[in-house]
Amino acid sequence: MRGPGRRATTLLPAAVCALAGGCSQGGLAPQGPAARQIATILWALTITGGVVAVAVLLAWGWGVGRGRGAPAASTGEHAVEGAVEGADTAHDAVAESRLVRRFVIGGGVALPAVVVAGFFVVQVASSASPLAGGALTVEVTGHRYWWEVTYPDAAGADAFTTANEVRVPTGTPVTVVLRSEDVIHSFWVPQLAGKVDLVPGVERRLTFAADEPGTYAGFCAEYCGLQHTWMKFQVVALEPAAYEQWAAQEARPAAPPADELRAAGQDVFTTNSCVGCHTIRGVSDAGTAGPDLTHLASRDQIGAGVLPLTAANLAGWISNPQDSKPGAGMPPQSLSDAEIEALVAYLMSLE
Amino acid sequence: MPTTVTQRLDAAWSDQPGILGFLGSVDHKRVGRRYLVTAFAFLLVGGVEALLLRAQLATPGAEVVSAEVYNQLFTMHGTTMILLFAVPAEAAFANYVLPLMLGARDMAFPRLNMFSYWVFLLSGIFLYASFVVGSAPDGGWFAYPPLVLREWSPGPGMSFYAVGVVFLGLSTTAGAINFLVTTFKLRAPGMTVSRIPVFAWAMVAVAFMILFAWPSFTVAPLYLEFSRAWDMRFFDPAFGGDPLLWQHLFWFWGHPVVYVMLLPTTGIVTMVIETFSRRRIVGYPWVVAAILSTAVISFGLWVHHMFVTGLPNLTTSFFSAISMVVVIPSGVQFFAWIATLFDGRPRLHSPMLWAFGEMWFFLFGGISGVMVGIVHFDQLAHDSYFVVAHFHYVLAALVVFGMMAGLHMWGPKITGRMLHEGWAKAAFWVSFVGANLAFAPMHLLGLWGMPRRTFTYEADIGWDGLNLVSTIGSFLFGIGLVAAFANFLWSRRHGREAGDDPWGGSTLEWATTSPPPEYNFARTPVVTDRAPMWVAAEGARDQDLDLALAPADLGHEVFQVAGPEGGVEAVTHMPGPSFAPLWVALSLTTLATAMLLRSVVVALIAVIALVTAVGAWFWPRGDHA
Repeated sequence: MRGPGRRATTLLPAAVCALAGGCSQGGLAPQGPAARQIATILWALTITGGVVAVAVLLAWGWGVGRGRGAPAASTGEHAVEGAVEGADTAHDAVAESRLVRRFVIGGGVALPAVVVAGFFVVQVASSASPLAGGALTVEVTGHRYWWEVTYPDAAGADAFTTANEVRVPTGTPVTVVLRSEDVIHSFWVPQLAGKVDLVPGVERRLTFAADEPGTYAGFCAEYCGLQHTWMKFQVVALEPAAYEQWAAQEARPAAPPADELRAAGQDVFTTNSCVGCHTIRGVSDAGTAGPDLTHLASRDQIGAGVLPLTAANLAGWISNPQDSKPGAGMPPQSLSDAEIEALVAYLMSLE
Repeated sequence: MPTTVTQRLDAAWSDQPGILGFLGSVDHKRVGRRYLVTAFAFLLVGGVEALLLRAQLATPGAEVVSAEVYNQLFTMHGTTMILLFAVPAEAAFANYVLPLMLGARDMAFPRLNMFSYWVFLLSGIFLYASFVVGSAPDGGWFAYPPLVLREWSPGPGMSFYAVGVVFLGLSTTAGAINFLVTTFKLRAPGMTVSRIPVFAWAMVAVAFMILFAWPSFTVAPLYLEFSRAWDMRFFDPAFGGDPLLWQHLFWFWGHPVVYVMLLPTTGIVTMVIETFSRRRIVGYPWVVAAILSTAVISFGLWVHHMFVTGLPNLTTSFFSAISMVVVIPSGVQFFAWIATLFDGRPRLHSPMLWAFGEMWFFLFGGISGVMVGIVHFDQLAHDSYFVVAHFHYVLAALVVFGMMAGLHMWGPKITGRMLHEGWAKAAFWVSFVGANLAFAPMHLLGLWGMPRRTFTYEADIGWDGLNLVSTIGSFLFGIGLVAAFANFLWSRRHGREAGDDPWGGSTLEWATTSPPPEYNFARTPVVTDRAPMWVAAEGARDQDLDLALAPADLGHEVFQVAGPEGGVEAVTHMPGPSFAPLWVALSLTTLATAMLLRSVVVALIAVIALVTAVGAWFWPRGDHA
């Protein structure tokens, strides 16, 4: 679209947003082609729907206004006074068919038919995705209640796995391959794309791209149990160079502990139940039930969004995850304060 | 030996006094009143659950309820509002009003009718017993496997749900059969198909929908319970099952059930607008055709609940197109109402205000419904608060306001007393403002990215303002509805006497006393017009309604009509009071409990009780008086 049409499609939403006071978020603030397509459709539907609503309200108000203005023959017999209209005379039959033509056929059939036909054209026209296949593939597996994120073919690096965070290069179509290990989840980043369910037993794909560097909130959108609320994630878009640097770093095994405290922390990790569920590449890759911790310190959050990642939060989380996220898969850990201090120091060093 | 007509009819139709009369009654008006009281009691329960949910969401990070309780509350809120309030409340109106409106003395199968009520009551208690044992269902009211399978929902909660909804379905199905047969066979002589009131047509459409949709919602929960009890693999992809099988079966029922809730209320609104505009509904054949075609089209919409499950483009486009088509019959009904207002003389009494409320929510809920019918938009709106806003506009607002219109119009018929008009209007405005405040902000929250079924949200993301507004609105809505019910209770004692026909209504329920006698009509009316009470000259009307037919009129008999013309075909003796319906319902409760306990012994006891109860039900009566 060009010229005045284009200006209208950008200005009108902007004006409505200013009035509503909030297009700063989610689907109303698209940051990529897939979400932008949806936002365009959203505005087309909202504006058309608004016009239809106003038209119907006017017709309704006119109907009530004219009807109330008509002279009423009061009989005093009933609470609702006035003689009854529409008896079966020839005159009434003509009036009736005129009303049916104007209102029922004109307003009730023709108006919605035209509008929904238009909507359906939008539907068909938008069925093609704005993005072809992705240049980068990321495999995302849903677990109750966290996201396992694997980069199978990171350029020039080995496959690596992280959790609750999908880092992507800006301007690059990314195809997410979605699977579930347990129940149905749904992968939703409102600013970047529509949602797609993760259905056990099948593989679903979603392609999106982010225009600008930034952190975009992601949600599990299909109710998956007790902590469905705290099954969040982030899509972090980086400039391509920064992304390559990050990917190269992620592909490396964990750095060896730099001091005694951290070495003690690594010992705590390997000699307790931690290794049963978690992998730290270069230390132990036996655990697959919980998030990969190889580069835990490069992430922003713990517990799929329930807490920001700080040393204090991590210590609290390890000693009892059920405090902040009842129903999380990780049980409380009976470690001494000294053990937890060492473990946290070690984990916080895993950049 | 009673001598006068009314004495003889009283003797033939009255229940015995006391508890035995109460338990054995099969009078459709008693059934209707019980349905009404029970369904609205469940509305209060579901409403309290809703307010707890809203209190939790009023502020970020609140701890009004725990995540566990929140999940139980939203699951039971949805289950209660749809299955224990909305659908039974429609049945309540149909039970009370339909036979009166048709000029009949009772429902076609009075014992089956009482059975419907007992099963409704007992299955409601069964579902709520889950709270007592500390394991309420928490898998969401649409209960998607694998989440609700034993592996992920080990407690008995989802078994209460699966067994409870199958049990409750018996009640709904029995009710539907009654609505259909009553309308087709027991309407007043002379009531041709083109003279059947719009509300009755709506119930016919609803009954057909129930009969075609409910089998799906019987099979699916049974599959679920078999999977939970005996590890059957209907939904397990590792064994060739499919989690999406549940979603297809569920929504094949779940979409038509939206119209099962909606169409009776549009029927009510049609009757209200006709009555209070002093004008027959414009385009009657169009309105009836719209209702019937909505019923048919509603079976082609279910996949629009599954647009993000990864179905092929062609499939989603087809269902998207059908979702657009269903707008047209809705438009027909809406504009028929506008035309009636336009050509009539609308009077804004309280029933009319509530009806206007329904129209308002119909308009906006309809528009947002079309929006979510577009696949790409749905990928944004699905399972977000936008969808919560949409279906609360339709179900919580449209349906409730339509019912309140009916309650305010027919309340005086039921109690014999007028409501306080000023109070009724005040309750309307509080409810109207409250419902809009509660549900309108949710549209924006959903577009912002708030997923449904989340028990809290962070403080720094800007969702707190609209959530607080929504909570305030929901409390206002609750206050408005409670005020309306208080008015109803007040009117029973203090209201002005209503008389037979306080509004000058068009249909036959206004031809008898308020409340009507047990036999409804001393003389069966003969219908010569679509609006029998409005037949042009008052004299002619009285003459028509006075046409007494046959001496059999004076016993426990009804006229049975045949064909589209509604000519008298037979005089049928009606079954009297019986404890068998209650006995059968209690046996079924025992059977449901046996399924829950997985106990063969209890199941055997239940089956024996059931067989004897059915035997008692069908025992030859020999009471042809």
